[in-house]
Amino acid sequence: MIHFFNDIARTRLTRWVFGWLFLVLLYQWSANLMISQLESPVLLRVDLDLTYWLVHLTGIGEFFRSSYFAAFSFDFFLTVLCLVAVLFPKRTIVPILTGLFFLIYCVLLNSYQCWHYHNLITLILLIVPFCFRSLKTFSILFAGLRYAVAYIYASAAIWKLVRGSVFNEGQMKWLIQHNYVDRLAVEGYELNFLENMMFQLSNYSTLSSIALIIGVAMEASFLIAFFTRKFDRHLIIIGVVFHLITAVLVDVSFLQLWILFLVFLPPDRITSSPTTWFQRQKA
Amino acid sequence: MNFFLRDVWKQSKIVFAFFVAFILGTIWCTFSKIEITPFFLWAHYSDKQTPTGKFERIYIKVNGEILDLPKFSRATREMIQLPTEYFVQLERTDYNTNTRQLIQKKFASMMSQKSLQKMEGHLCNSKEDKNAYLYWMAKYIERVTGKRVLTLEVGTCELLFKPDGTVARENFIFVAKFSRA
Repeated sequence: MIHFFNDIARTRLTRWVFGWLFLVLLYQWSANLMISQLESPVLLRVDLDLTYWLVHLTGIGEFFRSSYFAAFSFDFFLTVLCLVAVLFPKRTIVPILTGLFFLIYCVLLNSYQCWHYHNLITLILLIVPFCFRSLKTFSILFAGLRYAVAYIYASAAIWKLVRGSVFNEGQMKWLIQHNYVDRLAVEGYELNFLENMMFQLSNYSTLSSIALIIGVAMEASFLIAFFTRKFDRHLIIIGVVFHLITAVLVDVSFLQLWILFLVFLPPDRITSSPTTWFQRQKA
Repeated sequence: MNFFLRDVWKQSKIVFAFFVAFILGTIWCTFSKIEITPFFLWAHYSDKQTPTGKFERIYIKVNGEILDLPKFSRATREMIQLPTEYFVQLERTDYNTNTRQLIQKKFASMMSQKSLQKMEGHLCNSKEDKNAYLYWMAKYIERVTGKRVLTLEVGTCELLFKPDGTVARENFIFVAKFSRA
């Protein structure tokens, strides 16, 4: 059954999503990863992704490389647009423009980084429902997004099962070594307690294989979302714990995507106030 | 899922068509193993790997010293490391990427030579970009470290796990060098 949101819920969701996006962009600024901060990169990697082709064929990338002012204006407007969406959540044009700017930003950044990362560009899927004025369309698209997020995790598990890496002996040892080798190659670098504990796991093949199987099982648990909403809250916890573990083991947290777990929040929790949640919890 | 789509069909035929198109696009990309945004493949870390205790890595020497990449945040580090890995790959393959191959294969017969070159110029790098890349890398490293880069050397090496758990850098292979004269 599709839950239809009211204006209050939509306004709240808009503020949460675009507020998060604003914070993500602030982090990108701090990490010198906005287009104007990239010092006009030379190499670009588009592979066979036709969306990347389309963006680069417009010449927008070259324009930003040739004009610092244009690149800075683009970065500035993208950041401000997120803030405008938070302040004026009922203006549909703002999410549309933010989505368009954000897509161009992610495509350019991934091209110049020479690797098509998913940690930012996937947020495009989350922006789509907010581009429609009708509450009905918004609600249906937001409900569909729940399945898309479940698919992301479930398909990650399926890929590992199909390719056989999950039961491959030594797979986890390789993953841990692959993650830690650069740090250990630095003269004088000492692993902290947590890092050392995780690195030691690679010396115990059975234990590390079990850790990998548990990780894949956590991803596979998202399949349940296709059949029932009953375990949605548990999926949020599983997702966060999964990412915390992968952050330590393989240095991948996908923190920017955690906002996607919003789709597993019971719709009535979005509409009601935190005071109501507390009272309900007490009762 | 099938019940969800049935509900969507009842509520809006247009949104239903949108979902079906998205599902079909995802299925096609999955089976073709091609990623076309927004049809993403979530196959990270799914390739089978065998631990050999040896990893090939790029190295960057700034003013004669190896750049300590792990000291940067992951995001900043990757803006240095990944383009350099790609640069090494381009040097090894003589700048003949799968993008260039696809352009030649699919568009050579339907476009003029001039248009084809323009398209390649928008989407691919060439040997002429080598020095420009090294100069850019020097500028970006200056930005994130705040230090003047006088010389820059790029190459590959092997990181080997020793029996005592330490890691050694060996088998350095030089790829390119930049110097501010």
